[in-house]
Amino acid sequence: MNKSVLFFSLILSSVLLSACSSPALDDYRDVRFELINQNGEAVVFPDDFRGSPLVVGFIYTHCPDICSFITANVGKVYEEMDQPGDTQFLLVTFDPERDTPTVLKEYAAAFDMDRPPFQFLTGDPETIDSFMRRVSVRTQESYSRDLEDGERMYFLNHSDKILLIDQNSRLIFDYGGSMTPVNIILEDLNKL
Amino acid sequence: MKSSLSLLLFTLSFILFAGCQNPPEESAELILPESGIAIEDAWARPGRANGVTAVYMHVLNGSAETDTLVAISSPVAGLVELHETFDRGDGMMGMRESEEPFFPGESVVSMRPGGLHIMLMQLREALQEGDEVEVTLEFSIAGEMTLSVPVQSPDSRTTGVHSH
Repeated sequence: MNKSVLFFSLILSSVLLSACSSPALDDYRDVRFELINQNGEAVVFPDDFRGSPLVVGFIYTHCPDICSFITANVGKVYEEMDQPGDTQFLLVTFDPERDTPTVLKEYAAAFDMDRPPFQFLTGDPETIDSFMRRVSVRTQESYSRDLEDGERMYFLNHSDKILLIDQNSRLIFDYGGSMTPVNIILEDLNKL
Repeated sequence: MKSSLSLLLFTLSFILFAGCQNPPEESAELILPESGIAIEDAWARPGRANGVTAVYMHVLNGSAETDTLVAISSPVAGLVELHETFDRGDGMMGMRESEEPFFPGESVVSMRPGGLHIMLMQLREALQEGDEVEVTLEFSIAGEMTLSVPVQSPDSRTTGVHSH
């Protein structure tokens, strides 16, 4: 009798646990993107982060409005976590031509995020383009300005996105980056 | 009975607590001036040197006529424009220069994150929380007004730090 109860409990626990965990939307174990962080250090996605939950936002630093929201939201997830553990927080630019490591470092500092566990990532344009395709982040030049100094300033239409990736490099949730309440991301992180 | 009462009290406490979590951004009552333009609750995001940032505010037009913003400038920026963020409806967000810098009479137009905003470009210096930025607005009817705008992080905005 006791064995039956124990067996039933195990089955029930297993069913409940599987109901609580979300199915993966994608699996990044088959990719390898060589990127560089705001400190000029080489970083490989996702290999260097395997074993850690990841919160990943996509930005460009010439966007002061929506991308600031995305950046601040990623920062708030960390600040409001009771036990961040080894969770890592990434902001990846989709404008690598302008967003050099130095620019990303200054941008990170403006948000008080130039510190672990935050990393701001860029790379060569081809790698970033491949990365953005893989994570379904779309960009398109919206309009540009010719400046007096001969430079051209341009702006981008872009996907508004934050991803939650689990310890096994699987995409678990895909959020509207600037609009998702931080507590929803926190709840989902706690399920990992 | 006792547990039901506890549950009810817990639920009520939760609802009340949740109610307190709403950002105070929208709670301030805006009163139109008797005439002309008034600016309320202006603030700017932090920004890096050579980068860009945004300025937000409520523009209150107390006169009967629509006023038009004809020029904006700031000593901290090489280029200043009125922009608007928009949702393209296909999962992408965009930003464009506003083609309608109009402020209807007896109305409030709010520049807020995710919508209309003043864009400061080619920042001559980094803007950090606690700094003040000078921004000059020139309206066709109300004329020129210069504001001292505090630099605040969005995070501090949602925890109740405001400027008036």
